[in-house]
Order: sequence, then C-alpha cells, then structure tokens
Amino acid sequence: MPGDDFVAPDRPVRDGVIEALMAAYQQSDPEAATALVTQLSPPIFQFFLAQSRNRAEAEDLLQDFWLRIHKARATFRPGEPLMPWLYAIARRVKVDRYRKTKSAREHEVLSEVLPEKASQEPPRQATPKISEMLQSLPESQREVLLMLKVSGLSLEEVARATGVSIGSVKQKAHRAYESLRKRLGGGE
Amino acid sequence: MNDDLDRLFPQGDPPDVATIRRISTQLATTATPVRPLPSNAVLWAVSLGIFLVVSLVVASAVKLYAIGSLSRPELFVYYGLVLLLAGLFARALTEQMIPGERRILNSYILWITALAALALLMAFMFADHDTEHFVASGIPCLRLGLIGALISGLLGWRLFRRGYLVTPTETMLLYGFFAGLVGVATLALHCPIRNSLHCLVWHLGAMVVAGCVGILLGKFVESRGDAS
Repeated sequence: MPGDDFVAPDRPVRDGVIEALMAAYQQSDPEAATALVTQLSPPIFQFFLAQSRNRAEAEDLLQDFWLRIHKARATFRPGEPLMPWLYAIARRVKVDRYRKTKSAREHEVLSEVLPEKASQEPPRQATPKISEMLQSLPESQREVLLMLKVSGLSLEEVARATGVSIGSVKQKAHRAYESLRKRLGGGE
Repeated sequence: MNDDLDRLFPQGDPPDVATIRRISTQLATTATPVRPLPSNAVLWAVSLGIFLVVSLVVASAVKLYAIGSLSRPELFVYYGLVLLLAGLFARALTEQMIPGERRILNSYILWITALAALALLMAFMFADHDTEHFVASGIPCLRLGLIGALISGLLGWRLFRRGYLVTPTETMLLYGFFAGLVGVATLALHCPIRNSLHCLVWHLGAMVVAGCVGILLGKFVESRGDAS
C-alpha cells in the first residue's frame, strides 16, 4: 500500500502552551513570535501544501497567513482555544488566493498568452495518489479531512474553524472517507 | 480501514527553514502590544446599546408619535419582537467578528426569519390596506429609516472594524440588516401610520435597502482579499 512512510497525525503543540505564547505575542514578546512561527508553521504549511499546486505556492500562502495573523492578533482572546482561530484565518487566506489565481487564469485565457509551461517545481513529497485523491474531493470535505487528519484538530475545533456544526463536520468527514475508500478500492 | 487511510495523509514535509526564519524575524521586529477584543458579552452589549441609543435619539428628534397610536399589547408585541431580533443580530455579529468563534446562530436563517417575522406582524397587526398617499407618506418614512440605519452603521463600524471577517459578504449582509433594523425600530417609535402596506414597503424597505448595501460592501471587502 502506498504511503506507508507516513505516520498518523500527532498534534504539533499541546493545549494551553500555544495559547500562552499567543498571549505573549500580543504583548509584543519577540521570543513568543519566533516560537509561534516555529511551532505552528509546519502543520499550517501541510494544510496549504495539500491544497496547492506546488511547494512555492504553499510557502507563499504561509507567508500571507502570518501577515494576516499579525494584523488580526487583537481578535484572539486569551482563554479561548487558538487552533480554531488560526485555521479560520488560514481558510480565508486560501480562499482569497484561490479567487486571485482564478481571476488571473481567466485573464490569461482571455488575452491568449503563451501556453502554460510544464511545471518545473520539485515533486511534492506527499504520495501522489493520496494528493490526487484529495484534489478530487469537494473543497469543504477536503479541508475538513485535512484539519482532522493532517493538522490533528478535534471535531469541535474543526467546527469552529469552518463555522459549521459538529454534526456537519462528522458528515463531511464521513463522506470524504467513503469517497477515498471507494477510490482506493477501485485502484487496487 | 480508517487506519489504512490515515497513514496515507501527508506528514512531515516541513516548510523551508529560511522561510520560517524570515517570517519569524519579520513578526518579532514589527510586533507592538495590542489590546485583545473584549468578551462576547461586552461586544453584544455595545452593539445592542448602539441599536437602542440611535433608534431612540433619532425617533425622539422627530417625536415619538407611534407610541400613542399603539395599544399596550401591540406595543409589547411590536417592540418586543424588534428588541428580540436586535439581540439576536447583535449576538450573530459578535460571532462573526471573531475568527473560529463558536457559531450558535446561522446568519442566513436569522435575516430571513427576521424579515418574515416582521412582515407577518405588520401584515396582521395593522389591518388598514388603504393606498391613498402611499408614496407621499412613504418616502419620508424610508428616508428616516435609512438615516437611522446609516448613523448606527457608522457608529457600529468603529466597534466592528476591530474584528476580522472570515466571511466578509455574509458578515456585511448581516451588518446591513442589523443597521436596517435600527431604521425599523426608529420608524416603529415615530411613525403613527397603522397601514400594513405602508409598513411592509417603507419601514421594512429600509431594512432591505440596508441589507443590500451590506452585501455590496461585503463584496467590496472580499474583492480586496484581506478582511482585517
């Protein structure tokens, strides 16, 4: 089976610690800022990478994400969970980028520019099969699955980050699993 | 089977170290202390305060004629419904201001329910359907309702802009309807005309117009690509 190199997701940061770092960052503690970026960038990067065309785009999204976090940092309230707050903003960054890219692509088609070159980006390290399967899922199911399985968020956290009920998150995850299972079954 | 699927998900593909270093340096050097937003209860109370103060002040400026024209039960039902809706809108807006906040109220269901409830109340409570002077008496009401909506919209924005909109169009639509509800409340305090068509078109019209302005503003915010 492909993907045996990958391990089950672990939550990258423990509850409480990261919220304390965020509170310190709000008080302009430079060490807290560095610790936050170092600890939170990998899971957020995974979230973007699984939905991007290449690493460069995912790193671009990551930078945009931190810029937004910096601007919106006053909207995090100490005592509240940080992960739903972060992922709600990460979703927004992704949606804005998608809209911008879509508009740019439409512009390119209209003005009949040179045909797109074959991608020269290094291949992503994720198993191609799973990344293709993820791309085939509807947007809402894909992001729910990524938050649960790649970022290690709880159902409650995903519900808050996506602004839907826990029941709806469960339903989306179930449908996504069913869809992946069918594809896996068909491919074997 | 789920375990088999779990193992397939991409893990351990970290971002470039130089990128992380660049971001953390940028954040560490530009950080200034910020005051976190107050609790939901405070945000809710401030929003409701704006609603009450603006509707009372604007309606008082043009006299509170409506209070004398309504019976006690009508006052209780009409003002009670408007106040209940204002409380729900204020709560929904509070949820929309904070990323990752638990959503108790669905904003689309809320504004549709609010419009339907007000329309039903106006249709059944005011039995008069006369259309004489319909436009002549309606335009001043629509204008006053929109003035109330505009003032509350501008005042509320000072509070609202401190938040971060993860769904700008949805939030601004809700914000527009909330401002429009201030217009409805202003007219409910001022206008003594007990005509259902007049209230449905000109009073509720202020709320619909404000909601439409909200959508347009939301689309504008969304097109800018950063809702902070």
